[in-house]
Amino acid sequence: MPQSSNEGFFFNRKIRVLPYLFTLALLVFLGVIGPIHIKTLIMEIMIWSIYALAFDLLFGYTGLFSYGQALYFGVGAYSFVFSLRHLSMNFIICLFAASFLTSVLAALLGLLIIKTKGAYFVILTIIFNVIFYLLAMDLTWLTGGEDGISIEIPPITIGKLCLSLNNPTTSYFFYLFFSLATLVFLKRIVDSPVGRVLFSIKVNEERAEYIGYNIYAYKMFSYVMSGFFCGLSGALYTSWARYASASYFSIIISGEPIVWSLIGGPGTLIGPVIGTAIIIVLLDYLSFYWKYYLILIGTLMLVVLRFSPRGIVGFLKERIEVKLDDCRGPP
Amino acid sequence: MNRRSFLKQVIFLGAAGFLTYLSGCLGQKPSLELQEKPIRIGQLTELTGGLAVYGYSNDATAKAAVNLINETGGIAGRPVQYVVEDTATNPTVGIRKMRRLIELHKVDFIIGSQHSGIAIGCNPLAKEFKTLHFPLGEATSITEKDGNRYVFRINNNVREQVKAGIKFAVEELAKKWVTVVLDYSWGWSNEEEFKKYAEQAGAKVLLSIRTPIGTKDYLPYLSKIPEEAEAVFFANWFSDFINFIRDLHTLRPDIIKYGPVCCIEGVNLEPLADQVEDAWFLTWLPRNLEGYDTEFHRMFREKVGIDEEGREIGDPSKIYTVSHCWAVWEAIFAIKEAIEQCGWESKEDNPELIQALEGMEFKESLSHPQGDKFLRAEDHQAFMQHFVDHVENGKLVTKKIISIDESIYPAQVDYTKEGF
Amino acid sequence: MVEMFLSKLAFSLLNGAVWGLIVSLIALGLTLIFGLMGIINIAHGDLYMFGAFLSWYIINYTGNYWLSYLVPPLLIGLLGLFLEKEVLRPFEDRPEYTVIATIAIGYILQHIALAIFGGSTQVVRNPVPASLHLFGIEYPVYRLFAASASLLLLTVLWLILYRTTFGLWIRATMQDKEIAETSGIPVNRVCMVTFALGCFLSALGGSLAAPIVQISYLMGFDVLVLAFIVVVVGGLGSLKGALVTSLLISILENVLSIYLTPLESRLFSLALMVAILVKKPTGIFGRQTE
Repeated sequence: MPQSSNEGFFFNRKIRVLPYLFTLALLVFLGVIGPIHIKTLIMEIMIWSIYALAFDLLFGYTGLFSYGQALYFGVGAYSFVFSLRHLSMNFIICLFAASFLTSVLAALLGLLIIKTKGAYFVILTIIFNVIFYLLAMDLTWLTGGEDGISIEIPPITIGKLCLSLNNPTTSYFFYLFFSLATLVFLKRIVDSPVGRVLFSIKVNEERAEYIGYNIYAYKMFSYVMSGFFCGLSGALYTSWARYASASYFSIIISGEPIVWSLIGGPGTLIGPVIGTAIIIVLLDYLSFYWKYYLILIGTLMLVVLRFSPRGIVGFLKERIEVKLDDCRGPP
Repeated sequence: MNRRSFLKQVIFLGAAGFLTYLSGCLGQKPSLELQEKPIRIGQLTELTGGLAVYGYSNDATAKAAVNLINETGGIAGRPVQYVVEDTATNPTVGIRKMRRLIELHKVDFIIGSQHSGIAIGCNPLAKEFKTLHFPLGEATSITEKDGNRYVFRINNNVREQVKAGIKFAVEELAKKWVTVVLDYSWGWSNEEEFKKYAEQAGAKVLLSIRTPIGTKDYLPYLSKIPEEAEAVFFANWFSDFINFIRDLHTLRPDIIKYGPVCCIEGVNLEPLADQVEDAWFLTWLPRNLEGYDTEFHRMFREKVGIDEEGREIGDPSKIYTVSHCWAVWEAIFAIKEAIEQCGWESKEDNPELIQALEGMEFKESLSHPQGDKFLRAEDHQAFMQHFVDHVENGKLVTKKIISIDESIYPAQVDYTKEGF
Repeated sequence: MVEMFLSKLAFSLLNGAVWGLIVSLIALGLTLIFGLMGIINIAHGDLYMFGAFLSWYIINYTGNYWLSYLVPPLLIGLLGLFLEKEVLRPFEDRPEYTVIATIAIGYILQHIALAIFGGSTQVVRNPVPASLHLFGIEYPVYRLFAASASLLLLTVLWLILYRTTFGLWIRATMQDKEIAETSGIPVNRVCMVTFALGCFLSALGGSLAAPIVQISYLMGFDVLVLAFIVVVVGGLGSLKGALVTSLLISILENVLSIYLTPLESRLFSLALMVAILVKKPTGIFGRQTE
């Protein structure tokens, strides 16, 4: 019945955006009337989700497992600080300058890193991360080292509009905008033909190569893109915290998006966001009630992995599909 | 795309958003409506992570101080509530928890982190939220370029420490020095301040050695120490210090060793008896009670649960960071005194409170067991007496008390000109 | 002048070799585990930490050093048996998942250690406080002891791998799991025991290092990164590679630090590791095919 399927198509096109609209409405609603600590929590989750998404583009969509993305997070943070200090332009331009600089660095390091595979790739990303961490700790005159640098973000005025990050509602919508923009942008990438090729590299690199794709170039694209968004998240985080320190380069920060995206669901866009939200919220609340909270977090991670290697999103997807199949009855 | 995926998307996105909201609400504890609205004091400390040993002591000390205040009638008749959040010794977590303390727990005052980086990161937030912040970090810049009018430091800083000890070091220990410090900001500022003040005092620093954090092997660095060097000034902590002192003892058993107490805070010296023997430590409060056996110091230890040798009463394997944790106690009592002096009622009155604290003098008492001190009005830095401990037969013996005057240096900033 | 340089050089060589041996003990466990099961064991450093803590505990309560070298590795080895069978087996040969699973195990181990032993740094008294006069410098005897103990263990390990049936099984499983299984090798058991062996080695490394390094609940982290670099640059699954690289990196850093600052020599050696990997993307002794 072509007619009904056509109807279904339109119906689905419409309801497909509904959940997103619903979430967006909820987020806007919270931004307007939510208590300030909830806004802060959501802002932080939004910023870190960009970081988790940047990792997931690399791992979940291209199959490149990097344990050194903190390098780009830190570089983004510091380029933001320096451009804010020396360029004396408004901070939105600085944000883009920082992300752009970071992606240039990612391209340079990518030349060395991309050609290696598997564990050798992992270790190269770790080594570069360690090198930058050591440098950041050492060049105190530049980075402030472990003590870090605190900054002030001057408000910008566009016409009559004054944008100041000191206002919680303004900054809430500011970060909401950036995280949504990232999501939409990444969605466009992964749904595009380029995204398909990336995914095929993840699934079977050799086959993708035989088909005739220049996998090196595609991997590079993914790596640079990931660097861009790591840089953006670093810059956004710095603008939120008004502080940057050498600890942003720490390998602990590199491990975080791995946990977030694998718990949430790698290879999806919504998974890393959910993973980030869950882990940050859990860490926040558990650490308040129990000092040894990592025992619980660790156990939770093992349980999630055990039941669904595809993360929470993967787990729910399977369950819901099974349920709906049951409802439909036998074919 | 069909109904199925619609459903699952609704569920995912809705659940994600709602979970965040719910969990936020859950954390909002039902406020206890007492007869008097309580004053809430929050502490941001390192319960886990690299500085966990400090966090343990700081948390216990704050609890004891708050209990004592509540038992004796509260602050200006109002009870005190205490909230603690863990920074995991990580600035990104620390900043998040600072905001939580202010926004969720709605605390009126914050005793800040022992980690200088976290303290520096939190200072701007203190100003933004107009909440008084009493960081414990010891980087000099916390009460200089990185501070603001809402930041007060009741403990000392690196410059103050080095300056306090320099006269003793140069006149009574040696004239030809080598410095060995950890290769990061805290170590460097120790190195720079020591060199500056030592040269002013007529001594010479022959060589400055910086060693990376986590060095297991100090022999390559220490073998560079020139023959004619008489003494080593060190600034490194935890395992780095222990590795350092062990290797130094092997290489140059006779050289004079002198450094800040941070190196041995919370470390059991017993197994190290041979190596640390004869070393000198500048401390802010002796670990052993007998070094400064005053009535108030004794009572302070009793209230917190610290025995005469700096260990926890009931669990001798836990050693308190006695030289640091008194600052938590004194900060809480400083808040109490300032509130009672200016009649503070809520955060609205913070400007009056700040003005009361600026230049405030504290007399030795149970509230200030470490001794007399004053908060300099310009840079909100406290100045106090210091102590010199010497290791004799594996025990820290206090040899000298250095007066407040020795530690005072000229103020570099003037916050009193800053608005509120 | 030349004499002084030579004595410094000899000293750095010796010192580097001593450290290289201790690190290689930890790295070997890591490389065995990866080679056999594809597990990137992030918790390896935490097992090392637990080994050190347990031996501190034993020395504190019994004062017996030999017991402190024996009991912690055995306990951690048992823990390894459990971890491999109950926790890690479903993720084997999927390195990304083992990373997160072992991160989780590491979290749990760290906070258990924090809860039991507290956050302070603990010190184990040096069992052999003497020092030898070597190359114009006093050199602590215990380090020589630890190095020779590592050397002995490495020899034993080599003998196990190349002179026993079990070693043959391990090598066969490492090359091809399926063929090994079809030829009647109990692959699962081999994996379990090898994982336990790796844990045993890292805990033993912890016990041996306890009197040299200091014990805190986060000590595993430093060792882990170094051990990983060593393992990968040496070529995954290659015992020779791990040994050679850890000696190389450690001696190099020691020798370089005669003239350079510690940071420069560390950066230099890291840059060298990058250069090796870029030039030879499967490590020094790695097999060419994946």
